[in-house]
Amino acid sequence: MRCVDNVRMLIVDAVQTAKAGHSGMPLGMAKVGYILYRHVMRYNPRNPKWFNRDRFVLSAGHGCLLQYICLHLAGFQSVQLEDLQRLCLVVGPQVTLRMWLPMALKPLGQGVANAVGLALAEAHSAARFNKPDAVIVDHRTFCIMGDGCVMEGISHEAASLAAHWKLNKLTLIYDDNLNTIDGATSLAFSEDISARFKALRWNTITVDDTHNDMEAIKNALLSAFRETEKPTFIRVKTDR
Amino acid sequence: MEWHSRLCYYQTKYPQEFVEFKILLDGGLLPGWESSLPKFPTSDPVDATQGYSEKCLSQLAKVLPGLIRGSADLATSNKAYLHGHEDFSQPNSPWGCNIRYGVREHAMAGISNGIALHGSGLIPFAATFLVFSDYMKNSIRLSALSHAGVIYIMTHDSIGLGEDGPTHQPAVEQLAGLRAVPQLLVFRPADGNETAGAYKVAVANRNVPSLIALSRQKVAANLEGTSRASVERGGYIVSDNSEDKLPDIILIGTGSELCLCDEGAKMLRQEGRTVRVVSLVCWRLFDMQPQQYKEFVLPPSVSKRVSVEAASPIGWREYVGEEGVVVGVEEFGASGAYLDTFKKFGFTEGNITRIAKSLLSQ
Repeated sequence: MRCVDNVRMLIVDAVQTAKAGHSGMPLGMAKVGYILYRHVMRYNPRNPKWFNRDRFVLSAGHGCLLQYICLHLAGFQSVQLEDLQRLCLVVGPQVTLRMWLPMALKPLGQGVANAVGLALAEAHSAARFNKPDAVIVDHRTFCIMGDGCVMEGISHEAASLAAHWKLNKLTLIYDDNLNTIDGATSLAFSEDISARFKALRWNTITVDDTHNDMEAIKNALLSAFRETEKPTFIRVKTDR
Repeated sequence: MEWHSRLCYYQTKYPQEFVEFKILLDGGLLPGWESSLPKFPTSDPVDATQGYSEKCLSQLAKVLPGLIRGSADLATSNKAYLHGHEDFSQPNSPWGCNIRYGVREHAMAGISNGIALHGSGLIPFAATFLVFSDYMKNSIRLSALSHAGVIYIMTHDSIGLGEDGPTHQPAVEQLAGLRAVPQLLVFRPADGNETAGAYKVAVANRNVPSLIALSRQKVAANLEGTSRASVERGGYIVSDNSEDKLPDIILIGTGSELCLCDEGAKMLRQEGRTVRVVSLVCWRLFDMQPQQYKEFVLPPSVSKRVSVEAASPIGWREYVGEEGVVVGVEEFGASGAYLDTFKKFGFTEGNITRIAKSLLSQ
């Protein structure tokens, strides 16, 4: 829990010092970011371009500060403390970070499609090259998306294809914070998102209590590993 | 590290597969791959540029291990399906390199960006009709912003597509908007040689997306003087009978309308005029050339110029100058056989020649 508090303090500090930037989404998803980078994803900070690393896409690009902080705490050389203040002013691709996350982080919804493409590339390459006694392509794709992404049509198109293609190593984490720029999501949005993803034939999980239950998030992420037929959609309720 | 020792084992036990894997990790381009692109002698029967594209693709598939293509439910219409290769499908054929995206243009482009940036050396092609590029414009823009070398194959690129009518005609404004996207290379090849030239540049440039606009209808002729190599410079002289003097007039065209410039030039030359025909196949590449080359192709002192393109006239003024005439399309097109539609909008040799003569007489 202390680690998560550290992440949160860095977020607050960076935004305060820069006098700009989005803190809401990063704060809400700090636990998820921490668990992903600390416990779940496989990567090598000393070799950001390692081919078989897990891929991570932040489709909710305004939360990029969370990603930069996770990269910093994970030991990536390209993100030092002094960079964080500057980085929270910019939501977009950073030259120094291109080795890890080459995609532009905005606009909303694009990241979901990118993640589907990453997962397809993995499945395709794995099928072409893996041998029973030598598996050289085996990594997962994680994507965090928000309400904006869910509303943009492209995420629906991409999600429909992901399930049609049975991209079971793709995990989509939905930051359900009931908030958009204009106010509550209920202003323009009243879908049952989990039902939508279920209808698209995804494996759907909901984590209700993110504040007190770190294990629930971790278990949800790890349960995706057991899924062999469907991509996994994890709805994380961060508004409460 | 454990993965590296596994890779070493793989290299020893499966050397051939390892070589291909390594090629892909290094970007997917084998030295000499360009020589696989077909040559198109003028004696060949004419085809639509989408037909030449199909021939280029099938040759490229033999030498590019990373070639993976997809279409938004228009694989046959786009002529962009890799015959002899399977569809990507799990669990049946995940090694398949034909992706069926369904009627989901925007996802096709966004997913292609992910494929391009994954690091596995895959070279994604995404095909649909040029008019539907509007459905995925944001993702095309992001290809450019993110340096993703996606190759967009956009067929049915003008009012020449015929009977499908205004809803499917590229309403003429797509090319203008796409040419405005920074970094994006927009090609509109006129024949087989230029199509091969466009693919050569597009495949070689892995850090920049390319968009190749192709005709549905057969082009009028195989042109003498078109050049695969010159496509790299974005614009070049196709023909000129002025020898070591400057021409009386310059006719500039792209794609299926370059033939009209060629025919118009022939008619004018028969009447003793000196005419230069220029193909401006990729504006961005031409703009990037040294000033000297640009002035060699379009000498500033030759002010009588006519541009011919069955698309929006926006942007052409820069190449034809104040005195020049821009022949373009400013309406949404019409339904009908393509020759009739072309005639209705003034895209005939007769009309182009008439416009050129009128300019010359001023």
